[in-house]
Amino acid sequence: MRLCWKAMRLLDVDIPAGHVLRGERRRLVMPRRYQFDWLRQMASPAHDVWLQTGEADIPGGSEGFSERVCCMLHQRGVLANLSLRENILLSFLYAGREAEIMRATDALPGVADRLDIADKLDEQAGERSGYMHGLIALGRAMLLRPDFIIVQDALASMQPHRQEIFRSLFCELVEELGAGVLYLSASTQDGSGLEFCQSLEFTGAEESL
Amino acid sequence: MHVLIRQVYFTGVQSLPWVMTMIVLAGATAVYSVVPFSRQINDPSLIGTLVNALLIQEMAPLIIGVFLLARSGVAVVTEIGHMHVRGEDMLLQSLGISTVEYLFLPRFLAFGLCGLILTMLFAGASVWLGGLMLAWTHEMNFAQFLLEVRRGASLDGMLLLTAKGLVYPLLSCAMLLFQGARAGNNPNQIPVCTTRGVLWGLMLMVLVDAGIALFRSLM
Repeated sequence: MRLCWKAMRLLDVDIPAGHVLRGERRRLVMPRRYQFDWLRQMASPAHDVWLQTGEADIPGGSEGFSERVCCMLHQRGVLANLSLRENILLSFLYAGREAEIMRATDALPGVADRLDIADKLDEQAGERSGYMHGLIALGRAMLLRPDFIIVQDALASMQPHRQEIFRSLFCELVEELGAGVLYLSASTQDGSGLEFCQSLEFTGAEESL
Repeated sequence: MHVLIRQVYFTGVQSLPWVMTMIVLAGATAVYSVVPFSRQINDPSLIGTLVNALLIQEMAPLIIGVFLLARSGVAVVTEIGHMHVRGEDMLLQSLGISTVEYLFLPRFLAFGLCGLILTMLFAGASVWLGGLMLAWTHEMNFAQFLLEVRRGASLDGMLLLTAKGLVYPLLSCAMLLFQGARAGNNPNQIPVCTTRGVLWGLMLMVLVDAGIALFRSLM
């Protein structure tokens, strides 16, 4: 199984086609605007990003894709008008499969304890720190147990001591799942704590903006 | 479904105290304008005709449409606008959740459903309350008033009320959602889009109302 993407043009930069195998960690280093553009292409109907399985290709943005590929977006981990609990369970609630909802609901207290947010689960998300966005995305990934995780600058805008906690939780999860990781980062010094088998750097005119 | 229920609660149930207040005021205004006028010209049959034409077919759908636009419409545009600014649409897409299905459809359906129910409630309750007020102030017998209103009613009129009660909120909601989605990632655009959404929603309703009136006069 592998996560693939076509060669694509993001603003003024050409990104070559590539893939991540399960268990592999690759990094694309580019300014944040390009990262968002890459993520938009992922959900676009042009199917520039897809999951190649033994049976069939699953296009990016589809329900099947999001069941196996978890995204951890920078400062975009929560919907403000939902509670933190609803945010973590959102994809399960949306899919509406009772058995899955039950499984996720039963597992949630353990996940919340591990993330140290058990007492905050029923608070409305509202405006939260980058750390909380990251934790909610991490909680979602812990419940979803995906084959691949796409991470966008997860550690940026976190305080150093929180970066340490997050890094440790994230690395534990990746090890535990054996998931493939595609890390979109603005800097090679992102401090993700992961060993990348490939790191491609792209610079564009937008970088200085 | 959960989002739809939440929207129906916000748009419909929480609106009820305001709608009840408007029912009392509009019912009183209408009957106390119509009944003395029909007495002046000695034609009680006008009561039914005017109450049906003005209060039920014109005022009810327009007042409910404007009310939904002012109360829930502003909330819809700002909420959708803020979601875009915060990039929550991107989060939804990354979770494989359709923004149309999750954000737009529940609000659209809630507007249509609540608009229709509130319009019917407004039309029915304002006639009843107006009649009760007339009876209480000894202007007219309650049963006689209802009989006159019943005489003035027609199947066409009821169908028109239903159509307006459904179409006006749907049209305004479509405009509000469109404007909310136009906020992009610029928070300064949210108030601009809200104003534009409310004004265009209002214009759409009035234009369609004028169009319907023109079409009926030509038929």
